[in-house]
Amino acid sequence: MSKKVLLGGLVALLIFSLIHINQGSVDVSVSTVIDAIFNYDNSVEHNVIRDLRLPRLVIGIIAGGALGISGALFQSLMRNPMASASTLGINAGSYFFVVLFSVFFPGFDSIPFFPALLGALGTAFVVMILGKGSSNPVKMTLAGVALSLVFSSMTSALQLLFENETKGLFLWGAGSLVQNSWRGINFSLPIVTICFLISLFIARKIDILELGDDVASSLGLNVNLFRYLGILIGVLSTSAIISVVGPIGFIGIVAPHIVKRLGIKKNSEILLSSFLVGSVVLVGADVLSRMFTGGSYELPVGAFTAIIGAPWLIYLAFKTSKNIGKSSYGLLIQTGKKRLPFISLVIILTIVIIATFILSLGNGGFDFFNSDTAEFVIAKIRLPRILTALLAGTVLAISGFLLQTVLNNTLADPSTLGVTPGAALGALFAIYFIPKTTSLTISISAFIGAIIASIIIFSISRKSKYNPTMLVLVGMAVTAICDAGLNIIIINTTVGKSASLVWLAGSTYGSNWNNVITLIIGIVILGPISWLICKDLDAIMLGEDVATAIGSDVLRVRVIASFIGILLAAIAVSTVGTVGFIGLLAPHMARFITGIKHRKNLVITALIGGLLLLVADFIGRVVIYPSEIPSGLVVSIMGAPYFLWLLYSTSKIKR
Amino acid sequence: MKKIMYILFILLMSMSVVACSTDNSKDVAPEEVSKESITIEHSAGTTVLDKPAERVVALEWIYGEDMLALGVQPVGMTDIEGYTTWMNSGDIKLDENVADLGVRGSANLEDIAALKPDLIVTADYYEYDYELLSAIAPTIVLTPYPGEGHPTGEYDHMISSIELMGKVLGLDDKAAEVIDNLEKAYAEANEILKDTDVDFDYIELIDFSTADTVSMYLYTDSSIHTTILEKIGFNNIYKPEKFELYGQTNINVENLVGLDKNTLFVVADEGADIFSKNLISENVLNGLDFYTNDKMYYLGANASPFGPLSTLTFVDTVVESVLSNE
Repeated sequence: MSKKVLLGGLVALLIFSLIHINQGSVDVSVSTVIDAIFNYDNSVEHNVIRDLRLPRLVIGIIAGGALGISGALFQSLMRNPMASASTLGINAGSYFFVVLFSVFFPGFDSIPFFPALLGALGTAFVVMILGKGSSNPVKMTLAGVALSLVFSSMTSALQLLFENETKGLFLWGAGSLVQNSWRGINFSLPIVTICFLISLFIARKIDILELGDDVASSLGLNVNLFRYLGILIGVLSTSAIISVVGPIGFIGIVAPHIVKRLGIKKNSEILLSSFLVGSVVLVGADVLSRMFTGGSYELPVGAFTAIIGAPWLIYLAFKTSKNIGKSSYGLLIQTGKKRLPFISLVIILTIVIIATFILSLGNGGFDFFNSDTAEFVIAKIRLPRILTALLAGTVLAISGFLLQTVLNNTLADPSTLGVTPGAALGALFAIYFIPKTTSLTISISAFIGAIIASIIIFSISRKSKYNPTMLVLVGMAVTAICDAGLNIIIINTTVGKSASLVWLAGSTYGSNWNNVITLIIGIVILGPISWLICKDLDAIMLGEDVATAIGSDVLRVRVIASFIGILLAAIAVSTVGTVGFIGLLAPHMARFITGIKHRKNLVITALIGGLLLLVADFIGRVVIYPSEIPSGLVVSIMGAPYFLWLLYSTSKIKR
Repeated sequence: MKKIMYILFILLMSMSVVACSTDNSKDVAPEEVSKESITIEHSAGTTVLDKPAERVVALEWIYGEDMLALGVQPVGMTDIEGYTTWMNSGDIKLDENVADLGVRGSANLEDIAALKPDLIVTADYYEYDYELLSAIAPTIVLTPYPGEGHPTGEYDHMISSIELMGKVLGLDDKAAEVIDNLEKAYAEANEILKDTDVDFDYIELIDFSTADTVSMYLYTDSSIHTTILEKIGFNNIYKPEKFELYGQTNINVENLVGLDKNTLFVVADEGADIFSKNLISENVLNGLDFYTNDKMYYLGANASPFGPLSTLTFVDTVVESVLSNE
């Protein structure tokens, strides 16, 4: 079996390689390619082939292979069929550290392996700690997705604040195989080779590990040693690759799964074939990306691996969700010990909001109380803006609250589900492809994007009866596809890039009364409906069987609550862009202080959400005046530490 | 349950009504036109000024530069630090009391209002709320990248923006003089370059590469760079496969092969550019004609022409670098 796979893989790799090496702006015949390798004469064509195309092909093979192996290692050692550098957040973490490094040590002339490794190791470590408490692979994956979110928002903060220092990193940051010499290969090949050899060497130990820790220990295997060694190898080879070609997603998921689908069971064979299949997929994706451009300009191959790999993830999630069935990963709730009475909580929060509101209205920017334009500024600029922040925060919080409850999943949120990325893609589409865009067409386009993304997510997961796990995984895949689209659009434009970045980061900048009216209508109509269905949500919390027994139509409640959640998210996105985290954080904080009664929760969640964005808006306006930090980024930076702590503390609870 | 669906339906309808009702962007009503009044047609509508503007806010660098060339200071401009770093407008500088309005594309609206301008000028690729800006002061929105069908659109925009700023400031004659000076500068440069043996066929590259990643763009025919270089006698041989709205194509090293027989202008500082960073294989570099035969001209990272002043600097820089290479 495995011999056939290897043979097939080699043939495929050979064919792709032949196509690959013939792609490019310089026309060369096959015989020139052969001459360049065996009969080198220092002509321009030969040098192009030897020093530009061949390195690109070779790095493609090495990178695809290394990502394939590390995916296979992560999957078996973490017992998580969805583990890979991208789903665990390792790509995002590593990328963040490289960007950080190039901003603060710009003159450092070497391949950024150590920052990449630092980011990768750190992220892997955090994800492992967070995922330790449960044997459910979805939880670890979700932690990885959430971490990616944290890192990518911090990365975009850096890109915004240091536009010139990070300008050259865009193509690399989306994953690109472009090579201009053998430098990258000379660097990465030894590391990947050593990792590959060690992984083959310990493959038989991994076979034993897969029998379960207890069995493996009783067979005399040092379980922890080999588990951590294997993961370390995976992280090492991934960082070596990231530092050369940038973060390329999905190879680590696709390759091992194709191999396993083909019926290969022994780890040594899985690793070998994963290397081969990974190479085939990556080189194939690069061939595809260059077919689009005819070699005359560059598109990031990382976007293409996402477009190829994301549907695979959906398929995989579909298969996995059948096995997961009813053992859905429920709400893990962390509640405080002391609780204030509900009414006093509401009063306190309201007072805090009003105080912040007045503070924010009176300060920040220029001192307009002494100015005769004060009235105009309040009425036309600052008041609508602050109101938008407050209301959009509320809307996002309610949206996150509904989605979390409906999906029985504490990590669900418009941004993790793919609704916000869909909206972002819609908006960017309008900015770049519709001539003479106004903020209105952008909002509408964002809205349409959110709705299309949700329709895709929900119609694909319909078959699994909206299984929570399924929804989140499909959301992840949709997010990846949207991000790929965003990357392709952004790479191909240079002017006005930062304007789109501001929008993508989520910002209350320039909000007007139309935004306020849209948000108020949303809250006035959808808020009460949310309140009404809270009772049914309480019932669902007790479990589907119980809920059905006491007369709730579980499916219908879920559909309606999700629909309202998505609608709210789309409203928020069309007014303030892609502000993340509020939908994640506010419901958590509310549960922490009020417990699990949904109606109480809803109110507190809404208040906290509003307060969060209100504060973020104020901070963003004041810190680097007269410029400003987009409030979405302020929220991420404020929210990330809390969120990590939250992930950590819930990871210790076992159900 | 049906009720809920019904409510949702109403919501959707009402939202679309809100969306539509905001769509009727109002043009400035043609009021009593006095003798002095100035009427400007632009991409967001028609703007009428009773008298020449005095307090002008420029939300894109080029309009501020136009004003400097006309001998007038704006009251506020965006990202002044960036302007001084990236735009080389020679000896004519912005006054220190010109208000910095923050990042281009998201200028501080409150500060604009506080300046009490009598005119705001911006570009259409920034997503400003036209009605809000118009509520602060009459606002003109221009189109720096008019798109396919305007072969020299970027350059034409610069010229028309000088004329426009002249018109709104009541300095039409001065504007004509500025444009005239540009033509003179081209003629002079042409004259000087004629006597050199520089290869007039060229490509021009802007380099954003970092210490480890290669990122470079070639200028296409619709860019302002190309129009100016062609005016002083050069001939851009790079013809991209697709139209580039912003006049630049993202390329890799291989794309340079075949374009390497002539002159190369590099928008980067010598020594800090892609050809000196050890990122490209020696053999490939040595196969590039402009590299081996010293036909590369470094214009500096801040060489890009934007308005009339930086255009003059650009022309001077090109001439200087060609002469110093003789």
